[in-house]
Amino acid sequence: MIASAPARATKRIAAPASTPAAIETEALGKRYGRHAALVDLDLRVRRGEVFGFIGPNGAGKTTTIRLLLDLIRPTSGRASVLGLDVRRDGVEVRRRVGYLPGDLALYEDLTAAQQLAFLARLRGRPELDPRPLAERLALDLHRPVKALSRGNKQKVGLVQAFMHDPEVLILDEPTTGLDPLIQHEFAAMVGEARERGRTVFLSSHVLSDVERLADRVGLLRAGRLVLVDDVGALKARVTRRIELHFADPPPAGAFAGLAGVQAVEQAGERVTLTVNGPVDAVLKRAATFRTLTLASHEPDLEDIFLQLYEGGGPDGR
Amino acid sequence: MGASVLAHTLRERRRGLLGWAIGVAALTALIAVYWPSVRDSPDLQSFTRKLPEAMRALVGGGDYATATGFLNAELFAFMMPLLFLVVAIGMGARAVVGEEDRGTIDLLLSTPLTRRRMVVEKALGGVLVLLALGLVLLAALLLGDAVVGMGIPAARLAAISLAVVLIALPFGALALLLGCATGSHSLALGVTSAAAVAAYMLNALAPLIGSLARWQDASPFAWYASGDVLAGRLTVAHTALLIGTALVLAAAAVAAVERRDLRT
Repeated sequence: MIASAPARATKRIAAPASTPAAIETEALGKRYGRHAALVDLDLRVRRGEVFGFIGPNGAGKTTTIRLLLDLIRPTSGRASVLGLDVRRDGVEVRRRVGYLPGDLALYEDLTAAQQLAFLARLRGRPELDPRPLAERLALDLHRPVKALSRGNKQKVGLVQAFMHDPEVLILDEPTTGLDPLIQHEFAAMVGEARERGRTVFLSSHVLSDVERLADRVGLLRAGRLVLVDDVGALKARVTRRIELHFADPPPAGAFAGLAGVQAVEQAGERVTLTVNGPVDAVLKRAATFRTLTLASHEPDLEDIFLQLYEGGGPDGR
Repeated sequence: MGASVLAHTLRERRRGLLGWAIGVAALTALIAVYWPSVRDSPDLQSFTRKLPEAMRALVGGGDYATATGFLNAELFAFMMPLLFLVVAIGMGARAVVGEEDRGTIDLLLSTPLTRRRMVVEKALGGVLVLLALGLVLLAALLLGDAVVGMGIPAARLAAISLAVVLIALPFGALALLLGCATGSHSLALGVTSAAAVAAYMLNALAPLIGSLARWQDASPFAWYASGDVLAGRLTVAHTALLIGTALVLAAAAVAAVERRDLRT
């Protein structure tokens, strides 16, 4: 499986146009009466990437995901998964997708093993063995679902989503209720899925989750996609703070007017800069003095989010 | 995929089925043990013969002189179909809406299972539960007949047991349709129960009220005709009407749930 990953990648580069996107939506919209849950969503998730879909609760993440699974129907636009229309070819789509619902509910009177066996039979794959995944996540398969904690139920949800090694994983708030150790194991599972050429689409309102796992992120707010970008590029374009400590106080104004520098605070040999975008110019100037320490406060997506929201985003509200 | 949803439905219903089976058997036994004393009581028989026709119609003819007339009045005119209808309507209303209420429908339909197949397998599961209950009823009737000596041919007891299953089908299917169309358990339960009462009253009162008479044949209870069945006349036409109505309603249920948003 892992050996085939480079072959897939090569193929994708050789014929990018002929391979349908993992997920593609065109002007996808969902209204409930006068309330617009999702407005004109144009989204393209590439094959083999981990895509983070983030936004506050009620932004439309779950609505989008349930549209992709054909559990609800759009009021406008269309969506396809692996080049298949989610409405017309829904059965084939769902055969090739693994899904973790955001509001996970299981059959309370079954054991975890019975629950998973039932879902495997519904997939026409009764031979699927949940034990390796259950072992990784430290899930006891023989306990009845009603006796499981929130976190353990979430593990059952993760096992059933990953169990058939689907081409596309659609995970709605996957880390809910998981303790840090298991979150780490989950991150490894996502990484391995990507290595095998799988696509992972995961939503979260916990931005640090997505930041660690995703190649690209899409920000959703009030039913609208505010932006889509590489995690790296997104970080590069936002404002961060850099603290420099020099052997001797640099001359006043040494850092003023450099590319990207928005504010300078100087107190003797300590200089604190607010920098937007690449830090190249700042580093080059700093190198002309004897620099003792340098500390950069990495912006997390929370900061990016706040900046975007304060800036109002593209639709200016 | 096999018949996983069907198997799952039966598994979920088995505890409820056990309870209803005990109820059906107990009710049958209770009525059967009264038969010898009713048979040997000419006073009671002349009393029921003197009841106004309206009262007799409501209690299934009130013929206490024969074992079939007695069973019809006491068991099959009202009580036994009521039990089967309660079971059928409950299962029909819960079939799809129950998955939505519990939130399990997301996982169920995130597999390659189609909505049509989900409804069909759940409906078949309901029919199998009713048939099982019908078999329990037949066993109780055969036993009761043997113990108290009612002398009713086994074929007629089998026919009436089947008829009670058949009368439950259109109402179970109506509850299924309303649940599939609206996603509301209470609405499916309430409207179907009201429809069942209306259908029962129409059939019982039509012979007495001139303006209703020509509508009697529209009531599924007229097709059920327990008195005729116990007298050895289970007709193909009535059986076909009951099964056909149930099939049409179930097909409509599939169409209704296919076009709807599923609730979380």
